[in-house]
Amino acid sequence: MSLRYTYHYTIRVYPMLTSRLFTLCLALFLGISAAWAAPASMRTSTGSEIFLRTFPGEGNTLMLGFPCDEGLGTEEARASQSLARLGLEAWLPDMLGAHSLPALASSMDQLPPLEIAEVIGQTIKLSGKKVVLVTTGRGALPILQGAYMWQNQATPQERAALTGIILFSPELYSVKPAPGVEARYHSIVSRTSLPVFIYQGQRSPARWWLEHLKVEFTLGGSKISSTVLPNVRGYFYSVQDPTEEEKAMTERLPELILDAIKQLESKQ
Amino acid sequence: MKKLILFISCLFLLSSAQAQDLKPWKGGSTPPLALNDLNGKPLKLQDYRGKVVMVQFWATYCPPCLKEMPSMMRLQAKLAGKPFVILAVNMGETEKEVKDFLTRVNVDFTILMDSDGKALSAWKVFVAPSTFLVDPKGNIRYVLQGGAEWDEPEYLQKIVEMLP
Repeated sequence: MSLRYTYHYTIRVYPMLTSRLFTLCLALFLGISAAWAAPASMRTSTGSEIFLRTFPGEGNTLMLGFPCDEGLGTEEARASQSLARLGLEAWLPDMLGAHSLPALASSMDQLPPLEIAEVIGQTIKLSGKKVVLVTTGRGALPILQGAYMWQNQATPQERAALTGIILFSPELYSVKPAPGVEARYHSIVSRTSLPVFIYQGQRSPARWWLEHLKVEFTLGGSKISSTVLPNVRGYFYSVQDPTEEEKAMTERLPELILDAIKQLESKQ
Repeated sequence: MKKLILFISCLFLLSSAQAQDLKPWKGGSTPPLALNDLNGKPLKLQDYRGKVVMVQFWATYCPPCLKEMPSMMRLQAKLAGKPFVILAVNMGETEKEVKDFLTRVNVDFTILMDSDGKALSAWKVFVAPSTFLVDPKGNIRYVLQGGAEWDEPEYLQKIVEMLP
């Protein structure tokens, strides 16, 4: 009786165990592979070491986010976690930290576009995934410059891996606009050929200048689309005093990013 | 003594920095301004010829706009009886948003509704608040981007100099 029991156990249960063990090993292996694909830091030719927060996802698309205003990008990190659970891998390089710059929007002006270009290139190579760039406000300028720089030295195959860029409330004036004077955009706007998606808060004067900015983007051949987000300010997810509408919109960040990626993919 | 000189220098620098904020207008002819007020009454800038007009572009979500409004009320009080008027142009918000705001903030100058953003496009307003000072002939003379304490002497003096 006891023998029969052992026999049955061995025949029926042991293969099940080996199968589970195999699955576990495979999962561990894949997990380790994913960890290898997501580096802790990147070195640039300028000598900077840029640390990354990474949120592995199983899908073929990776969001390369450059947090701006708060520097720490708290809400971006929360959104990245949610996106990773939905299969979208997310990497958030700490560009400000690499240069010991304070966590201020104005610090974004000091980021070297060459380093951005190298981070984009390394991300595409290391991940082997389609990459979408995401940034906010004054981050738009150095990130667009970096993307342009990278595109100019990339092969057509590599270029196809960069799906586009999502900009939240971008600030792209060449000089601070003065009342009554025609605004001038930085030349990178009319040189950009990447597909661009803009989210602009309704409760911001910039909302009224969105169409002007879009026209400027089309000059470089960029396929551009946008959405005005109702009842929120420009930096709705990093304001100190969020309204209930702004809190609700912040909760929707993952959904907004996924929607924008779909739009960008359709324009490739 | 050194500290006193430093303090006076700082005061001078602060006041001159503030005065510099009010910049002479270099934008050419005055753009059109024809909007409805909160009660739906149509108003035009030309209706105010012969008066100095302060045209302020503002929004309820803009903290500096709200901060400067009491000083605009004090300015209006200081210039009571003089040919001076304030037109506060709301930047594309709903009537309800503005009316709700007015239950919390006490202002009695004219509010104009730029519902479709046409006026702020024509006046090239990029930041809230942005304020234009229009002389009695209808020409813009000064412009200021950002908030101010409008009843302070530097601003008051400039406005008084513009009066007919």
